[in-house]
Amino acid sequence: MQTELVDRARRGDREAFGVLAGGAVDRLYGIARMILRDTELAEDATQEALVRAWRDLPALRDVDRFDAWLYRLLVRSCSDIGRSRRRSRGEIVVLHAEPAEPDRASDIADRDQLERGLRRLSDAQRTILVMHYYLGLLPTELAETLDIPVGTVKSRLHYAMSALRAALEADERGLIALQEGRTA
Amino acid sequence: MTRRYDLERNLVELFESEGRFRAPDRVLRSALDATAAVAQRRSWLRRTSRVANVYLSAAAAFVAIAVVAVALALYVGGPSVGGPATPSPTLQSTPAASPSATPGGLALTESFTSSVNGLTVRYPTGWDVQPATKAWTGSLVSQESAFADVIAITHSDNPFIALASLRLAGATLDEWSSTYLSGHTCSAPEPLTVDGRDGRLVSCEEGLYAFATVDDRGYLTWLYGSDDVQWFTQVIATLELDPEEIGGASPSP
Repeated sequence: MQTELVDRARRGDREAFGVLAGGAVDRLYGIARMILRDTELAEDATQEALVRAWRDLPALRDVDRFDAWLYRLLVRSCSDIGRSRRRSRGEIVVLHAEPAEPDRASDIADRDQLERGLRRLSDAQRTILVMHYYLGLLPTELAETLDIPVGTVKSRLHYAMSALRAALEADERGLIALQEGRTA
Repeated sequence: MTRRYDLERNLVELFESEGRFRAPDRVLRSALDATAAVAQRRSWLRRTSRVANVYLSAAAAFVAIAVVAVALALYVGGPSVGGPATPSPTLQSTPAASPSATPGGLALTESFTSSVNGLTVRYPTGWDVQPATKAWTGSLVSQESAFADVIAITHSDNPFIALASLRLAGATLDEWSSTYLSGHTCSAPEPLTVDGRDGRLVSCEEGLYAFATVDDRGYLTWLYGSDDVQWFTQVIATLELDPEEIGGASPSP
């Protein structure tokens, strides 16, 4: 079904593209939020990726790999938008996750801490973590999607996790120091 | 170890909770509105080569009609009986196409030598060369690949020619080419000679590929965005494969 839609859209069928875009927009937006940690920029990145998808669809080599190709376009859009954010804006809108089920206080604390840790990473580091831990892409699939060697994928994953761990530990030390300051 | 797994688990849980968010309706609406003003990028060479084919067909038809007309004229108005013999006009043979002429009129006038990939190739005037800057390890080649020498029409994304080479570590030409193209929609490989070596020509949805090997080095040439086999084989005919030059002087357009 999707293959047929992609094929039709590739030949300029806007209706088919509308169906494809409608089916992908929530997924793309969710991923863009995870990478950019900013709702407004995630909207921009999603729109940008969809426009690029329409424009470049005739060049899609294999219609069966539409999803992977779309992720690649989204990553590019996130990267471009992240770059312009660094140039033009100092602050970002912090995400507040609103899970469907109520959380325990410790879970919320963990989540906030993780959020702070993720914000300390680069867009490229968050991208690799999202694609591996959320989309479940293996290093070989990541290499193909991001067009980088498998070795680079593995080292980026390793460094991203190390950076996240270091950020969380620094955050924890800061919290402990703050608590000790209050009790003193 | 447990901390590591805790972190990974927490990360997955956070991402999964964030993945449940729906995009505001305006995101899709704005994107579709924007696409209404954006034209899809089509393959320029494929289009022009098809247009060129139409002109070539028309020209061939014209030549055929002209030949028939001349033959009829000769037959009907042949030498009169008893009259002086007139030398029968000889049809000028159609000039052979120039070796560098292409259906799209894209003559291969420029030359590029890559010291990263160890090759020399000729390409059309007006195309830009983006030389490779690092060695290829086998991932899929794209227009942005730093390990590929990419030659593209200026001011356009396609078509382009990408050239790259790598060590095959014992793989045969057929093993390598079929592994590289696994998952692609392609025709069966056809034999091809590249700089005197055995090669393979494969036509895929996204363009044409030529594979060749020199000792243990595999050479890939990819014409993206065109199915013009005639022109591609002309490009391939200009290829010189020289793995011994790898790491030598810097690339020269």
